Amino acid sequence: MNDLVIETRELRKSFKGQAALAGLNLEVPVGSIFGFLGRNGAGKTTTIKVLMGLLKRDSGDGRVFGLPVGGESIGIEIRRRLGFVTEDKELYPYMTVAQIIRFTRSFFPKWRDDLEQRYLKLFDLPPNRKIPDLSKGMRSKLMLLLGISHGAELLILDEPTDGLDPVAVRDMLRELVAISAAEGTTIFFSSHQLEEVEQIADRVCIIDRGTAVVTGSLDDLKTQYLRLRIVFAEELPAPIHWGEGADHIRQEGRTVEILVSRNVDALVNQARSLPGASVERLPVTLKEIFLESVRSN
Amino acid sequence: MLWYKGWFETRFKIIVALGFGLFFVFTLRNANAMSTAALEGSISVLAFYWALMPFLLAGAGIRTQASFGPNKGLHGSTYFTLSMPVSRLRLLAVRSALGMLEMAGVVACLCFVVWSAVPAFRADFTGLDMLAYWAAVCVCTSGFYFMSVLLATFFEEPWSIWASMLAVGLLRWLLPKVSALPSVDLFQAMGKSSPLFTHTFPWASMGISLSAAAVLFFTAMRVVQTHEY
Amino acid sequence: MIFRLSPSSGQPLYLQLMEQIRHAVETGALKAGDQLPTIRKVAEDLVMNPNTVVRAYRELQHEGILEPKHGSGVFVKESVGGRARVTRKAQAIVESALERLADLGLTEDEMRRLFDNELAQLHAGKASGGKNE
Repeated sequence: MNDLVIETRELRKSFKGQAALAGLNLEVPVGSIFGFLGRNGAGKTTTIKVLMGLLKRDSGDGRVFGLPVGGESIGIEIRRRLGFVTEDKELYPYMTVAQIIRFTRSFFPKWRDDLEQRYLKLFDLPPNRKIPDLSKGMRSKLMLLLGISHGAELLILDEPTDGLDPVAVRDMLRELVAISAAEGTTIFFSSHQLEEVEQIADRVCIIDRGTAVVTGSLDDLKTQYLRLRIVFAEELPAPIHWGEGADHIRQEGRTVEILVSRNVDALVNQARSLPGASVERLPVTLKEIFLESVRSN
Repeated sequence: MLWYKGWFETRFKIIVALGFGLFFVFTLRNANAMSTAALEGSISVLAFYWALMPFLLAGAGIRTQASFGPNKGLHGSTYFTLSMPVSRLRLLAVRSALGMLEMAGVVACLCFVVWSAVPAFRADFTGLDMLAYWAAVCVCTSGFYFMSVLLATFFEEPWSIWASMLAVGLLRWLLPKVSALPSVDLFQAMGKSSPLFTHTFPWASMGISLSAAAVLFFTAMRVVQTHEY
Repeated sequence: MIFRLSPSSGQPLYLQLMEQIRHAVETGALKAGDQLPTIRKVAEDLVMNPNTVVRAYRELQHEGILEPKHGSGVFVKESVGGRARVTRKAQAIVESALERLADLGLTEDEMRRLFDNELAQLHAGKASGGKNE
């Protein structure tokens, strides 16, 4: 059986002639914590809306739980199996915590009372407090609770730590990790906070202008990308022709720095073979990979 | 639970609707006797009010909060509602049904108050007349109600409210002029031609209202199902 | 058990965790036969991905440092310690040093000469009672 919770092939969607998604390929394995990164307007929100059935795609395939997105009844089936945390964590302002739990529960026949009770206590949510009186951090936890309690196999979060103070951020990340460990839920979240993604994601995808420019396991990316700093004994007479994989070349005086995105060994050898070269390898952070990928696109 | 949610959203609006209505009743309070023309006149005003009331109580069930800012990205509880595993048709149907029931209730309330508090009314109309009137009004407002529902699928509050008021105002001006058939003028059906004066139901008008309501509902349904949020 | 990881350092987190566990074994913070915290606990305490912890534990099992015990968790292997562990660590040091020397542009002969030179100095230092240079 398919072990991908989310899968898209050449997904396309345009608004008023502008392409929001221009052939997006995505693969989210079961049980992973998947970071979906991109600049504002790159297509993250559009992707989420298409997957959840809020928007219809123009062309290409999208599957959630192996079901093809598009039709309304499949959309309903998909939404029955996932939990969603919106960016601004807005819920109905006239309801209390208990009321919105009752409301949500009515749509899910397989509600787990035990999980509801456990997380209500764990998150310390006062049942009779009106939702607008909750802090954003608490509303985030409430939305997580609503998703977990109906046994969601997939949690989709749009900017989960946006607007949260550092303590709330740490809490949120810890809860996501705990949920992943305890229930095996797949977690798909879009974010700008690269350090946080680096901390908890095992797979990432960087989307830029509607396509995936970087995708893969975070561990693999960290070994695949490298920065080489080469200091030459003397000024070079002519610029060097670097092999494939040297993506961003910067030269200042006798120092050259390259960002390597693949063919690490070949490029290191090339660097070493240059006369009077002293080579230093430097690790690359996710932020550098991100800035590089969206710039050079 | 959608009924529960809808109730929360409309319970204060019901009070407002009742409030305006009671205000009108209040102005008539001491009329002991009225000529037929005067009676027809006041009922006409009431008829206009029945047509306006939907703008308060109608809704499409999806956009349920007034939003004053640009709606880029997933903002507002709209997206929470849309993330529930429920069809948009059901959201629309429950919300419209609830609004209609509330309208029927408010009309019934106001009819009763008007009848019992204004001596002139009690003198000229029997209880049965008022009951028949209530039924006729409920059917004849349904056209206006679903027009409001359709507008609510396009606009958010408060713009859907202004749009409804504008539409009703236009119709009020337009209907008597446009058609040769008096039965198309729904305002008249709730006023001069209502059971209060004719002692019979304005069947043609009621039929027209129901047909319009059905068409408008189906249009609203198509809009809600294909709209991109 | 206190581990500390730097997610932004560029080194994959599972490698960092493996190093920290190895270090704990070497310094005696983790002794042979000790049980390691559950994957879930490590993931929650460090706020890191559970799959990463799984990978680190698994790699260390392959290296022979950890072993699972009848479904009740992961333990430090009894046979850990002794020459094998030290040799493994030494190998990593030499490998890393050789790479860095290559980066500086040294030839194999130059490296060998350097190594012999340093060994001799080390020997001399020991003979004279560890006197500093």
